[in-house]
Amino acid sequence: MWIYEKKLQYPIHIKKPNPMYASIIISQLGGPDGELGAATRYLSQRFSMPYNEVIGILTDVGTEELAHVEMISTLLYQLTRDLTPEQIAKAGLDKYFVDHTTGVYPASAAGTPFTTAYIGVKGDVLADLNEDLAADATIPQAQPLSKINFTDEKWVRTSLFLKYLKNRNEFEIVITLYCNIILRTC
Amino acid sequence: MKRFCDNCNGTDNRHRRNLLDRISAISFAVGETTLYLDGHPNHRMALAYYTKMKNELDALTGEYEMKYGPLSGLGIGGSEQQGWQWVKQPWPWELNYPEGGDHPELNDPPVKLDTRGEEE
Repeated sequence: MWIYEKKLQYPIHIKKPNPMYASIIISQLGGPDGELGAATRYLSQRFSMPYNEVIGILTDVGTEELAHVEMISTLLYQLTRDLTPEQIAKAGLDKYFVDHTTGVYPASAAGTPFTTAYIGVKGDVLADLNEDLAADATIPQAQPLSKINFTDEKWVRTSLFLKYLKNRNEFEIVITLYCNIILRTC
Repeated sequence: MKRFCDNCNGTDNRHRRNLLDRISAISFAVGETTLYLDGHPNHRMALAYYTKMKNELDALTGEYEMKYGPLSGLGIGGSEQQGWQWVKQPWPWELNYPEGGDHPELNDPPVKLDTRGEEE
């Protein structure tokens, strides 16, 4: 089970709405390298994982990804408030707005609804951990930096950057653990 | 016993914001140490650090919930006198949720960002 904490992992207060930023940042929620995919990937892989340490990391990292889902959703909610029809059209948010108004719907920036086709759960230790490493490796290149460079609002940049800093080596650590302790090979 | 939620209406906002920031920072430390301990379950220094931070987090969270209202889904959600505060106070994505405290370092991103090609 999970217990909700009534606070964000990192506080977010957007001073100035900006629908263009929202239309880019939405990919961090429901896109191919988004938080919803990350949470689903880690939490789903746990059940076939044979080692307690790895299950612990998948549980706790997966839980933290849910907190990131909430942070990105907050960015989207605050960036799209008080908009006029003209601002929506000018920002290119009109195609999203016609279906979802300013509801926070997990999709990619190109409009593909969130899908678990983005993730891999194979029931095999090394296949799953390598999937996790590959997903983690998208962080510096594909994830926040490309989105950060679109933005100048302090809270958007800082909160996206927090995620960038959290590019930890957890999965590298467990693969080393696996190799050293269990296989005694690497 | 102290009355629940003395300042639910935000009469001491500055203290509230600073306390919330402190809770966020300590939570972050507890969370990161948890991940480290998952992979290193017998690391004595990490275990000692975890215990220290977790105790501090519990104390600060207890103080916040007594003074300002519920933070945890299994914490103090309300009372017969005050009502169910859980749904009477702002959600964390709302703009009236207590804003960051007095931490000037938060006014800038933690690391210098590449701003090439952007308008100043």
